[in-house]
Amino acid sequence: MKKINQIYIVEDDSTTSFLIKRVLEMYGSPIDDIKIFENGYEAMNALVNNYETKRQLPDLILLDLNMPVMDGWDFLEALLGHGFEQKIPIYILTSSIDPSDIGRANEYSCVEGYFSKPLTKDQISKMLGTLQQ
Amino acid sequence: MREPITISRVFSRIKEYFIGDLLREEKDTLQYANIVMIYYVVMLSLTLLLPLQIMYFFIGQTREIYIGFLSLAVFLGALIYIKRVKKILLISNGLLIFSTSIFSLNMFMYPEMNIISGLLLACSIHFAFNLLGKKAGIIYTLIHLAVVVVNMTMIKEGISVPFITPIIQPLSVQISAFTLLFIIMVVLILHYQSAHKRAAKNLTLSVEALQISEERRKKAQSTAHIGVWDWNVLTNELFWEAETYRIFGINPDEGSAITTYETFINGVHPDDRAEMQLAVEEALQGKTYNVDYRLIRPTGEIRHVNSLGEIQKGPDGRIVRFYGIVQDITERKRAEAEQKDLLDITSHQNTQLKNFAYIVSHNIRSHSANIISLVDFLETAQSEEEKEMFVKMLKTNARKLEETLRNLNETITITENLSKPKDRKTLETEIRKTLDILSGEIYEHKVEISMAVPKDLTVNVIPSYLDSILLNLMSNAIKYRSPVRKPVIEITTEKNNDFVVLSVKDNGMGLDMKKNGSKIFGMYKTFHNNEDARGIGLFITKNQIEAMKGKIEVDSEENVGTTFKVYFNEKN
Repeated sequence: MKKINQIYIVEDDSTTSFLIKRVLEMYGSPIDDIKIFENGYEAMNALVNNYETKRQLPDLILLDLNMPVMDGWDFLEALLGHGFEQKIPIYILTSSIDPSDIGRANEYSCVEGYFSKPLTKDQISKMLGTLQQ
Repeated sequence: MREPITISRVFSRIKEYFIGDLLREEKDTLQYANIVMIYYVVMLSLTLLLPLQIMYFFIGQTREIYIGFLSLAVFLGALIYIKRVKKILLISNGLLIFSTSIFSLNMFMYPEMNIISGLLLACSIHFAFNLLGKKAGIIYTLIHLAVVVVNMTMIKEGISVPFITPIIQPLSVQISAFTLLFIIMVVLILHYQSAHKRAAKNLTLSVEALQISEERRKKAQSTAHIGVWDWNVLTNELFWEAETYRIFGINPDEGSAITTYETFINGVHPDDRAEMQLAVEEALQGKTYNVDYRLIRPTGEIRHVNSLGEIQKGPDGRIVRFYGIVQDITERKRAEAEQKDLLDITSHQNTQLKNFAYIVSHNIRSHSANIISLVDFLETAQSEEEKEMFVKMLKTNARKLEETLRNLNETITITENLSKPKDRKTLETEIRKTLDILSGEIYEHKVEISMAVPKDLTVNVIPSYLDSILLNLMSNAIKYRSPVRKPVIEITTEKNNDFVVLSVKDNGMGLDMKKNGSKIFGMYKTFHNNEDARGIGLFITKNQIEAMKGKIEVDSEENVGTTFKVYFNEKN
């Protein structure tokens, strides 16, 4: 069983990121490190920095789609363009229930799942269950 | 089995072989008439010469005969010259006639001849066989050929030719040959007459058919508003048909059918003239001529037309003619414009609908989802402290939800109130008012404003929209100032066709147009981590400008600055 050490939450709304963190802490197995980024650009910067200094990369990224500076889509493109050796599983966590967004997200191989807000207990156990297999 | 030779068969064979093609060429009726004429003259001369021949037989003098032949040649030549015939059919059984005729024709530099040479020789041989029997026929042929050879040799050597043919040609053969010639002549004349009649009749019918077809063509043209033009490039004479004049709005009675290129180009809308002239020049260089342009009638009315044309070159390769049609397509253009307007409205509404769906999907749901989670947490809160925190967060989210709904309402109002009353506002005054509102920020950030707007320039706008647009553009220019440069905002105006264009240029942060150009006016799109950025301002600005049938353009470069251009529609 694989242990989840680090999770990135990429979300611009502070209430939402707080709630996600809280729900994860409540229902998930203990996770050492949850990092919150306000947009894709900041998350990408952290990823690249850690990769180049050979530091730990996250085991999971929870990604919002609608964000300023660099939105979720651009983040996915940037991730593809960078080509990290190790695959980082991504769960889209958005308020959008637009089927075209779901379809578009599923075109990315790194996208493991698509959840619409709010994040529930069931969704978390499903997500963590899949990852720890 | 061999078919018996009869006069009619021989005649028809001869006729078919030598002049069949000519008889079938009915358009060459005139030439054909001339041929018959020459033939007749030759025959007449031959008949007239017969007494001379007989006379010679008794007198034994050669010179007079030649004089006779020469006078025939001169007569023939003169006739050719006067009638200007193009083809000659010469029928004769005498070699001298041929030589003198050919001589005279050459003398008059006659270009083309169809000569039935030896025809009558063959005919007379045929009759010799038929009338005198086989032996006599052979002797006749041999003697005749001998005479031909002797005659030709003597002509070549320049010796006078003794006239011996009448002696050795039995009278019966001579008569038969001449009778045959006479019959050919009569038949040819009769044929000519009937052909002529037929041609005349056809001509009448053709003229009538042409008139009917012309009427039909004109009717079709006037219904479809198609006019013909024909420009003689060398003389600069421009022929216009009545319908062409009607399209240009000039009364055909006032002008003659012939006009000039200058008249035409003066009728073309000034904005389309340069393009039009280029199209004409290119057409003269061999390019396809198919242009749409506008013309202005003397009454000032503007019409849209389409014109097609092609060039014609002379034998020397120079362009002599440029001709074609012009069609009034104003109605079609109008219908197309209406259709486009309708499509624009539909697509605009579609975009609006998508925006609403986006707002509902992303923003309203985002807040409501948070509220649901927060309520859950509130229920299971462990301490009073926690409870208080969740209630605070609930309040924030409720406020955000309310704000989003207000924005949504605002955009719906813009879209619905497309027909809000417009008013004329002095742009300079309105800009100064806006800058007054922002004076606190301008002072705080030491923003330099350079304004070059004519004091009397007015725009036809919905006043509250203008206020909102100006405030948004100016405050954006200040908000996204560069942290390293002293902020400078340049405000200028220009006129562009039906629009008054307001430019607001800053030297701020700018943004990557390649990446964000398409999103800049989208709803809830923000590009900088600015606390105040709501991503709604430019979306509303764009909607307000479009509601006034204007448009907004943006040009930006990262770390250099951004320029917004607002087009105020002064036509509608």
